[in-house]
Amino acid sequence: MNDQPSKRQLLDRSGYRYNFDRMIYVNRHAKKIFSFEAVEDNNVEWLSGRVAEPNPSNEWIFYFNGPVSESVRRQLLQELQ
Amino acid sequence: MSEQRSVADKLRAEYFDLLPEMRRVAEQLETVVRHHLLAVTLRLSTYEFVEVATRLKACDSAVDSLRRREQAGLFDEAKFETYSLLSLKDLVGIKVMAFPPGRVKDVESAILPNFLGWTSDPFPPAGSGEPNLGAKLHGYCTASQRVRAEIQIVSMLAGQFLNVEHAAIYKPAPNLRGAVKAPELMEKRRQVFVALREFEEAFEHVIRESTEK
Repeated sequence: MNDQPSKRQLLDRSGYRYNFDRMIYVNRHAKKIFSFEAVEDNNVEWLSGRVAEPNPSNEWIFYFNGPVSESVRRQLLQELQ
Repeated sequence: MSEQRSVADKLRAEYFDLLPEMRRVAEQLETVVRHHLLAVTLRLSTYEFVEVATRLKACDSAVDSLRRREQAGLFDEAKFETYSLLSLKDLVGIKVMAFPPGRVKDVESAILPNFLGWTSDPFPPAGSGEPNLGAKLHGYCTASQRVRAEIQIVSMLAGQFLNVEHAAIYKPAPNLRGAVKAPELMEKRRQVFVALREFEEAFEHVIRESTEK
């Protein structure tokens, strides 16, 4: 079943904006970034859990399919500043 | 003063190194495809047609294709040495478009048995939600064992839509390829392909009815 629309609604409702240039969903307030692939490859329950996860630190959290390299992390955060 | 080259710089240099080989692959592949298609094209009715278009991926487009596969569409400069345009499946592309849709099957029957060693991918990619558009093959020909080529077989209207979409949207702004992944746009795109297919099938039905009377 294609649950992409409901995942998109969940992200919209939770304040995430789709950045089509980078194919990521970003919430600047929560300081969280989901890659398009991670959203696509995981189910709504997984996404809902990650969205609800508290982020008490002042650091950005990346939800990608694999570890995000330091170089990519640096370039991405530079663009988001 | 020496400045370290970026991944994109390295890939641009690689592109121009590969270009003569890409040209040879294009020439060989187009000739082979046209040869196999003769069995179809020599029997076409006046209202039927088969078009073969060959293209070499442009330098920026090749670099951008590789970049888009990376996390967040960004090269990891720490992995500088691992990037190569040779990992692209479509440095050279042959698109065969046929009308009416019944001729797409004939084209597939003429081409596919002659490329058995090639990899067949679903076209469009699985999970896109779009209707099947035809066939897509990737592989090497004898002109080069490094440069991979792609053969697409598609109905005329769907093929022309893909051409227009590429020329009007993605060529001037490659980053918009990410925009079309938005669910609302994916659904609209699916509707376009369904409408084009229904139109072609209806057209074929009308022509067949009138020519049989």
